[in-house]
Amino acid sequence: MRSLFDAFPLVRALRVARSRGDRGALSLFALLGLVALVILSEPLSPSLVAELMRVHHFTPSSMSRWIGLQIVPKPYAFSHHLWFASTPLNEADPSATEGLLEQYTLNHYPGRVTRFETVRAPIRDEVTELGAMHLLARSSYRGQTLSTAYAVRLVDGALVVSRESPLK
Amino acid sequence: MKALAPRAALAFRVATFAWLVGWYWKAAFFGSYLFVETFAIPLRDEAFPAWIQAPALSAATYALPAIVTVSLFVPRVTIARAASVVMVGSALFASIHIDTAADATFTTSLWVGLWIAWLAWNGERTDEAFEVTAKALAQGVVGVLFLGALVGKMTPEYASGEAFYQLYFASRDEAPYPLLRASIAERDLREVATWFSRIAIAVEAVLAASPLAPFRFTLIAGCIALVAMVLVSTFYLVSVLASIAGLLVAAHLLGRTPSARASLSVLFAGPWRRR
Repeated sequence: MRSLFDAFPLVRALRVARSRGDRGALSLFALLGLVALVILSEPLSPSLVAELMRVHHFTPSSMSRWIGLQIVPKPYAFSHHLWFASTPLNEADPSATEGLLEQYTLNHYPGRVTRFETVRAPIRDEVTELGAMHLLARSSYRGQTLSTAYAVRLVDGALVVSRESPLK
Repeated sequence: MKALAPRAALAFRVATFAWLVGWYWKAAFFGSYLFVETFAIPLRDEAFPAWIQAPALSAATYALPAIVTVSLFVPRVTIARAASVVMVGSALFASIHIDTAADATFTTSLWVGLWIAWLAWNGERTDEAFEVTAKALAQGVVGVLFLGALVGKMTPEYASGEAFYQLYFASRDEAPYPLLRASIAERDLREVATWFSRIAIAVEAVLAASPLAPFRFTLIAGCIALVAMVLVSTFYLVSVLASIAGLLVAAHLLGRTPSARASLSVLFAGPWRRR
């Protein structure tokens, strides 16, 4: 049995690292194993998926969870959609919102749109004119859904992002 | 100051160079965003503490790894270790700072940075176990990076191809998507998206499982997949994938005898002689 497992380079490397007392390699193997376990738990754990969705929405339930889950790779993970409007979004049917300006599908982190990378100047002008801009992010994974509504306002020359709706 | 062993020095240089290429691949974008826009038009997010959204910290974090360039020319043990600490620290902070957190560049940089740190701390070794461990760790990093993407796609939107249809086929302005939209009916384009999605998931499954295969398989499959991903997505993806490609090539080079030229460059790379 031992020789069968030794055919796997990973098993051989673990044995070698343990016999040499290579604590750096063993720590990195342990961290990789832990993160792999977290990832593999996603389809089985609604609470983990809920927290990962909060992270994708830039709305973590705590800073420790934000930091912990940020080392977990999640590119092109889950399904994400975002609506952008001049009026508060209709959460039941966001596409039917009267002031809808734009809607699109994103690969990951719909919450990143609230950073307005490279478009802050036009957004500031819009917010100045309208009083507020509204966004709704919706993510889903295997039937589990999370929606987060954001509002952007101008306060003392700075754009301020707040969450408008309780999370579901 | 001790020098890295020739093979380790070559691997360190390749991995670090690729890491820097990825980190600064989108320098034009991050330069204007982090160094100009975030200061000119401040943005406060009520869900995060002030330190995690301070523009000075994200700008400093992005700029800091430039000093790592020194280690490419002077691959001494102490300098390599210091450089790896800068790489891991910068990537970790960029992964949690709200200005940079959403970019997968910093996630791959963090994991590859940890491998480089292990290499720097073991860079004087020349034993066979060193090569075996380095390759297995590199495979582990590749496996975990693609496992996250794979498991995240185990949802009906990706199984049906709808997610990729919306992300690429219906909206991308880069080639070949405008041509596909112009020449293929929507129903057929959705069928293409479904197969595209299935192939993407299959490739990620192969790479996620590749730590169980010989290193050469991960090297070849990984490099082909990385190039294909850039071709079907966007050239900007190099920022995410360059460090992974560098990791695989660097680990591969640990198993080869360095060329005379590479050895000489290690010998004479700095004012200190090899021990």
